[in-house]
Amino acid sequence: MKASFGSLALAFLAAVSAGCQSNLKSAPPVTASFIRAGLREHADGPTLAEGRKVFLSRCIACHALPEINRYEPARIPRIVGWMSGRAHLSAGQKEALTKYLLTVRSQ
Amino acid sequence: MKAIALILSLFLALPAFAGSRRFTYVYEVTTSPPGDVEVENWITWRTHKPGDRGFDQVDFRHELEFGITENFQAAVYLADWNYHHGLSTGEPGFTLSGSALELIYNFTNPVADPIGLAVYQEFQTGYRRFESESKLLAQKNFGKFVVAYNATLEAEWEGEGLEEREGEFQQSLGLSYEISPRLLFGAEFVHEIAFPDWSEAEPGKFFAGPNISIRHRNWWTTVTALAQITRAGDEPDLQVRTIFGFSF
Repeated sequence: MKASFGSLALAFLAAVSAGCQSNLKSAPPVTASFIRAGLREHADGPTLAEGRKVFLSRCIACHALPEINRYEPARIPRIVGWMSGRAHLSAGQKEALTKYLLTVRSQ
Repeated sequence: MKAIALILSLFLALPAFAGSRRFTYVYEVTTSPPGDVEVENWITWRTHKPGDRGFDQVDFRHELEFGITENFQAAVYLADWNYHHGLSTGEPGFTLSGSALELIYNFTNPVADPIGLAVYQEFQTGYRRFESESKLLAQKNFGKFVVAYNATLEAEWEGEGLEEREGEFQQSLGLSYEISPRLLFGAEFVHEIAFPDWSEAEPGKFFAGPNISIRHRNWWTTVTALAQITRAGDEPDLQVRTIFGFSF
């Protein structure tokens, strides 16, 4: 029984360490080159950073982060608009998320 | 057959709109967004103890959950009550356990940070009864796969002057895979060690079983069936928990 005492915690740590190589392909960081790409979407650095933060915090409450490259750019604002109600996004958050995702898509 | 395939593909393709729970025994570290209000109804059926073959109990919980800030949520358990039947429960009938306040604060993100962490505190009170439950919540998301772990310390005081004391340490592990945003499968594992009167520990009890979560727009439901792996006479061999959530 003592062995089972730590077994669940160890199983969790093993799963976490086994998956450490997983990366954030779906949510690339906001680097200088990313900000340059964001200019095409009329987005500045803070807007893109806010969009990424929203993507990483609000979207994962309902689903895994999607591969943005699977979506046509024209569909992205519609999808964000559709889900923003449930995620309780403000107008600013919705705009930042849309611009961030469009920038990811353009990469 | 084509119609069934079409309905199934539509069901799997449509996005979910609820901040739903993947697990029923394990808590996740993500909190509800500010302004979110959700109703959750819990039903837990426990049956067939090794020491009481005729045992049956159905527990009900009615919860209102509120997103307060980006990292903080609160919930009120309006009522915890149950119907019980069996030799170990005395006369069959209904019992009202009480009401509770639950608070969860999230520290780190399970996707962006190496590990997602949150703390949970619950205070429950009822007739001649007070309970405190503290949890450390940990979680890591690997794409569509989520692994979550909870360590729980529970303290309970009962009796006329709350002189009867009991403690319990519980740890639980949940694994979940997102088939689609609307359909998830997984498993949960629960390990409990009770400390009657905060003295010597009772033998540990271990439970394991599968779960399924279905989401649709602003509602969701998650069901877990746990079987007792150990043979503790005072614990049910099987327990099935269903949580139904509805978001406004």
